[in-house]
Amino acid sequence: MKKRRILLALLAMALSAVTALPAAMAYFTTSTSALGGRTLWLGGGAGIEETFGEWQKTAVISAVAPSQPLYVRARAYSKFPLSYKGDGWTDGGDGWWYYEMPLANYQGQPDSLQKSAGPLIICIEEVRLALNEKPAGFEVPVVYETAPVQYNENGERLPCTDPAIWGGTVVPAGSRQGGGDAG
Amino acid sequence: MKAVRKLAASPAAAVGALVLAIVLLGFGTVGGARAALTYYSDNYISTVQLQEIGVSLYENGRAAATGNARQAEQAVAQARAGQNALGGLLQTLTLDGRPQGEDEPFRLGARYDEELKVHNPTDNASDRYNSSARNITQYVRVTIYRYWTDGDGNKLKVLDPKYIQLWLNGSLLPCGEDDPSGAFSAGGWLEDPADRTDERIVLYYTRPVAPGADTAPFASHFSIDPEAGLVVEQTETDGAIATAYLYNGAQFCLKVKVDAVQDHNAADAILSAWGRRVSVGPDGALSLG
Repeated sequence: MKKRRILLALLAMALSAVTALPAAMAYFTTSTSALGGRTLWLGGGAGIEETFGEWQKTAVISAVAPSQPLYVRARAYSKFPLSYKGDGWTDGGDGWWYYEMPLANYQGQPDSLQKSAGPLIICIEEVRLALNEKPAGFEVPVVYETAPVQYNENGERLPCTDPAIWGGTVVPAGSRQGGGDAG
Repeated sequence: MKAVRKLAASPAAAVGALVLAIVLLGFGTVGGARAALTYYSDNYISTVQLQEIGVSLYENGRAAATGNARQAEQAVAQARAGQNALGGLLQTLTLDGRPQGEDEPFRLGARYDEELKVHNPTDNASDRYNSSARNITQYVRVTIYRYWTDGDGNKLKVLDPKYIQLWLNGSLLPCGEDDPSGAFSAGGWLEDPADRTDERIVLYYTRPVAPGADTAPFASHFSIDPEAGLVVEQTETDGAIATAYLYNGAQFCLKVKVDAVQDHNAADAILSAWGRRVSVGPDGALSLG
């Protein structure tokens, strides 16, 4: 009985305290959000076809599908002097020869982009003269590199010989790991 | 004293206190009731004007998102009907106002037009539920997220969001906790440096936005840093070394969230809604306190 009285008294006090609570404040708020994105495709692969004849090596470099616009450069190695020529190729002055136009190979690419570079003709006449006879065999390996085309802030293509295009940072294998929910 | 104690201890006193408490509670709630019209006349016309709050995000002059539940519902209905509806960001890329063709590749390093600003709609006249509602003056803030995902939408946390660049008239918006630039402040927008993370920055607009008005843009251009095209991953297999571009095939994502709150009692409203203590000057200028 006494407990019941105490409970009733406590309940009365609690109800009285409720009337002392201030009214809840509600504010006008709203929000909205938008999301967008695109896939970044960089460069791609390239392949080379080499032919030899008349003491000349002809190299034709082509973009391999799928390949976004990329620049190519090439050079050959020999202990003998070599000379180069080819339409559209320019001497970078650093031992590399650069093809001035970008190559690409993807579906729907504009006509302004070509899939293959013009032939780069590497003359090895000096080798024949130096050896003075037809040698049993020798090699003039051709090395080529590709890099994604870059643009300035106005959207204009950087020249193929721009050093900024050919730099790079190498990261260990397996650096790109997926995981986690998109934000 | 004994009599008082005896009275207090009696059951009647307990019941009486309970009844009193109930009565007090009842009177307290009665105060919240609104008076009803007591005069009736055939010729009486009553106009009720309700208030609402809405906010829109504009990208290059086009509404990319709107913050009103009913308008968003309308936008979804329009999209299903094939009509022009609100879209996301980066739907169309333009360079100096020229749209980029579908067959044109994305230009690494180019600064595409990306003017982002907030708009306070005038009213919701097009809202079939509430055509008489009028929007109110508001304070806004934007939260900008930048991150990379794979083809399945999974976030690639190892790829650096700093390569996803937002510019405001030649100035780069900061990105990342390591960014040495201080708190961003330009065009009436003020960054809260405490909320900056590797993927997120939060900007507060320091002026109230009246209905029908826009904020100043908080971004003008967008680009992908060419450095992203120079990071390669090397793998060696049986003596053959293969290199692959680390960012090739990754999707860059830009997400903008806009929050709006009433201008009346702005400091309290912002603290309650956004959890951020701010100061509002007599001229309405907001500062982060």
